Amino acid sequence: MKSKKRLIFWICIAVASVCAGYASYYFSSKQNNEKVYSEMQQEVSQSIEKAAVSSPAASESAPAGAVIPVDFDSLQAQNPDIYAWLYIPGTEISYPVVQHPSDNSHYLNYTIDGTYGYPGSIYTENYNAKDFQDFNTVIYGHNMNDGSMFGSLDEYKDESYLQANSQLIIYLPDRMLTYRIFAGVVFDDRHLLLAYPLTDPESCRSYLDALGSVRDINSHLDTSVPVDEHSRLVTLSTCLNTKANARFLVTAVLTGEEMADGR
Amino acid sequence: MADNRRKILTILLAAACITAAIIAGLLLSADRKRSIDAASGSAAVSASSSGESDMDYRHITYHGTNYTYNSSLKTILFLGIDKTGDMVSQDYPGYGGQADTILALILNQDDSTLKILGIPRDTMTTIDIYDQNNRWYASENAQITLQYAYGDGASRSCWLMKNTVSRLLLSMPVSASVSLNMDGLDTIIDKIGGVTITMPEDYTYIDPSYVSGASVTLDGKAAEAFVRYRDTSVPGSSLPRLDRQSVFVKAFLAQLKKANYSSSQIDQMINLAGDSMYTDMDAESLRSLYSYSISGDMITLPGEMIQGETYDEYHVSSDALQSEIIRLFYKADD
Repeated sequence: MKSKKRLIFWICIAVASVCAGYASYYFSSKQNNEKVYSEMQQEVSQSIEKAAVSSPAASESAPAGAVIPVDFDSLQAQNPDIYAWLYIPGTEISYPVVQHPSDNSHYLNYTIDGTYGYPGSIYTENYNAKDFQDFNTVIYGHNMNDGSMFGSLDEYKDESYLQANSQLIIYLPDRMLTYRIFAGVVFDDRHLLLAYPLTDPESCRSYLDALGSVRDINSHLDTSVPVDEHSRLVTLSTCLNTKANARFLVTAVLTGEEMADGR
Repeated sequence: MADNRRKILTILLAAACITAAIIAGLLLSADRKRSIDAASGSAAVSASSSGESDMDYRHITYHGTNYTYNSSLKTILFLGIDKTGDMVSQDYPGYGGQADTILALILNQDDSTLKILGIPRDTMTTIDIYDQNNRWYASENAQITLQYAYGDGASRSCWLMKNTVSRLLLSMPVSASVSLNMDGLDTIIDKIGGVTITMPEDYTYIDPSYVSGASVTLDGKAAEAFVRYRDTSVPGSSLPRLDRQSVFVKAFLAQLKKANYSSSQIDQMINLAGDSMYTDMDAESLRSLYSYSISGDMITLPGEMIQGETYDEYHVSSDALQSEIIRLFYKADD
């Protein structure tokens, strides 16, 4: 009788310690994985600050072109799939963008340095060209609890936040693309690029109509921003912890394109 | 004694271990759940979708302030149906009629107050078009009154109206509905011995005795004229009528409350009205409306009446609607 109790006791201890061990492994590995990004972010944000200080003076003397604050050579040495940098001034969002050549779901589960698990990567699928010339480039990212990756997109449910943080920048090795965020919309989980094929102008039109027809307390679309099927859009897509089978989409339209300094 | 103590100690330790294990498990699953079906369309695993309802509207941020949906609210849709009156459009399939009066009764079950939100019949919004086999055909921007016609004039029409009104109100839940057409109105008003209205303003264009401040008891026919009268040659004439309709509904509710009808008497009235009335509420829940007192005047959906090519169009002001909805349905977090 007594030994039985003792056995149960030790089993409990064992189960608890395995759980605790796994939990601490899980959290520490996630934290480690996120470190990859914060190191890259630091470098880029320093260059952005530097560029901000030096560029006004430079632009007065000569139209020098955009300063690209991202060292793509060194990033691509780490992972050749890195092809762009996404930056939303005033927010936490400043991430390298990747695209896997064949496996579209790869970067859902893999961090930029090839580690399996959260937080994954900020990525596009190969339905999109990598030059951001498509009508709509869809960028995916996890909605992380700690606000990293696309975890802070939830803020765009507040229209005043959308208005205050409406600039979005894509850096490519040879150019800087400036976008205006005009919509934050709770949408269903249909695959956007299959549902609205890029090759069909009518389906581009219906994507815009679909965004505009959502009526929801958390969805906003600024109709004063001119957008049509000839526009070039970026749509950021993440999941919602409050609604099943739904995605939160933040959509921006291209407003400026500037070639890089010296190109 | 020592043995007992040991026992207790063992149990306590075991309990602590189990608790630790459970907490670790919960932490992990919560973290997982949040991010698992994050992103992609093609590869997304909708692991957490089972049985999870839509809670997205419950907690919101508006102009930097956090708000929570007031969960003691219940919204009931009251519809007045006109089968013969001024139709907005000829190309509608149903003979169910149109919803001429659309009032959202917002019940606060906490303090037993009721607010009336009036939705103009000409409100332009997305309505769902169905074919004759009730298959969804398209969505179209049109007068909300038409949505009713794409149903059967009873349960299906009411269901469509509930969905469309909910969508119009930025997905606020609409839980029940009552619809009544003119025949039903006549019947019920005569049955309860008329409705006494104190005229809040001058309505002598309907009847010379309807001067402001006069207390008049309307029988079924007079009640019908009171809620129905509208000079269709005057653009936007459905708006003052909506005000009048809310005056009528208030007086009607007050009359029911005063008479304090039992559930079985309410059931009799529903039976008497027959096809002229539809509700998805039972007599007991209808009766519970007595306990509410109406607070304030009717609130009209914010917007502006615009003269369309052939018919009036009421265009909702989306900014004003959003702040009105926050005011009506939400509480600021502390």
